[in-house]
Amino acid sequence: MHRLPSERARWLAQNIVPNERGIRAWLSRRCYDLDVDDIIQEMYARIAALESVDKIRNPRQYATQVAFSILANQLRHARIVPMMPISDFDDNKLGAWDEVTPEERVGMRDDIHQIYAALSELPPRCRQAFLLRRVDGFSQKEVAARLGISEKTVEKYMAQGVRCLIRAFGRGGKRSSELSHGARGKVIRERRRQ
Amino acid sequence: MTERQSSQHVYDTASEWAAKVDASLLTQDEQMALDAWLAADVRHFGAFAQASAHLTPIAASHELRADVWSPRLTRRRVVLGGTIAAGVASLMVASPFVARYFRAGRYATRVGEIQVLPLGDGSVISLNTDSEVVVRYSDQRRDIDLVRGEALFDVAKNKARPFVVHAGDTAVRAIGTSFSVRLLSARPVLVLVREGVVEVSRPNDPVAPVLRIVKDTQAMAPPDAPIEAKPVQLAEVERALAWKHGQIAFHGETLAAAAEEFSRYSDIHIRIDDPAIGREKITGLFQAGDPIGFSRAVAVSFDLHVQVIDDEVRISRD
Repeated sequence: MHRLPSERARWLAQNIVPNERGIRAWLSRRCYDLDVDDIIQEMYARIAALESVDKIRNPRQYATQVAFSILANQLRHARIVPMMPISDFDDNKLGAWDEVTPEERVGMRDDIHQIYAALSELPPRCRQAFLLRRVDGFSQKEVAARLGISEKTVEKYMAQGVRCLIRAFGRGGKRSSELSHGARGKVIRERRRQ
Repeated sequence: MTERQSSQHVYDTASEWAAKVDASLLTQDEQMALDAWLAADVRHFGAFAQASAHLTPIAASHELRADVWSPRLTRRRVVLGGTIAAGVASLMVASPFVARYFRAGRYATRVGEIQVLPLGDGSVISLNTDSEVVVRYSDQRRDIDLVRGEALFDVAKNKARPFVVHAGDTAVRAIGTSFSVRLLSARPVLVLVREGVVEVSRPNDPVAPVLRIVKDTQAMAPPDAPIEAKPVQLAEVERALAWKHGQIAFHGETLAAAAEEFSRYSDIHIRIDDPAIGREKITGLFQAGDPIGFSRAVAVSFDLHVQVIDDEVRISRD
């Protein structure tokens, strides 16, 4: 049975979400052909299913290790061989967060600003409803009453806001999704002009 | 491709369930349907956990912020820290939509930094590497000076309060839109419109016309020539804005131009002495802060040699 107590959801919001982009970047530099979304989803599943998170001192490192073990497992079963040999996925190299680029660090740090920036893509009404719930802590029912809209609509707005944030914290917005295919820094050689 | 869509689909369903659970107690049927969905694939539960996290009221999540931030504090961050802390504090207690944003003032990024500034009117400025803006808001107008560098403006519509970006002698007036402006020394001012419409003008030049440009158009304002506009492909717009995600995208640019672009983002410079190498063309997406990784990728593709000496990466034939 899968249950997600609200304390666990909050713990994830505080400890894992701010690090998600960094972990994704870390992953995407390692796996070229595997779907990072799959790994991230499974990573959340494993952490959400833990009996207790009390002993996790360094959530970022812990989550990276979880992601790594999922990745390593996938690589063993992958038919497409990634660009990097499996031996490079050495346990000793784990937690090597010095490799994190300044941009990735900025990404991890500014989650509040990312939330605002990401939500700016939403229609104003939807954004307003989502902020009332998420930032001001009103219940969906109260949001509906304040804005004079139906609870069903508020629920729809919530789903829309969540989708928007998943995108923003994941790939940095849907706009970059096409670009993310080449995020390993692949060079395509152009034909030279005479 | 189908793989990616399917993970997207998982996210969509997970978001709907998270919103439903957040709305009210589920009926017995709904609970059964949710349980069945969660049990079907481990990723479903993960995506559901992720979606639920994004619905957690935010005030609580600030306890951790110091933990996420403090080891990474930069000098400039300390200066800004007061503003952010004030913003965060008000965020927890203030009534809705009051004083939780960045206010008027001067904001700058150092080389390699990117900063997102949500403003009080709902507009958001994303500041690229080594850039500086001054925000001047009044009841009648919203003026932004782009002092140097590059910024993307996502503007909240308000006809009564025009939003105008001043970059050198060029003024860009937004009409509810998203656009970027780039002001680099010895280069024309570059305006790129991602959504909506903007008007580009030269307020100090009485004869210069006002140019109205729309979505997916780029305007160039060279110092001593009229402003020109040309349409650009959507993909080109996205490439030009890859910096928002800490990345740089190239599509057939020369290696020399790419090296120059990288120098905006890092103190490590790429040096190419051989002009023939500099003329090689490249396509790809790279981490903006990693000129060495970029150089190595280039070297592998073109069979070149890379040497790192202090703050310099040299790319050469052998």
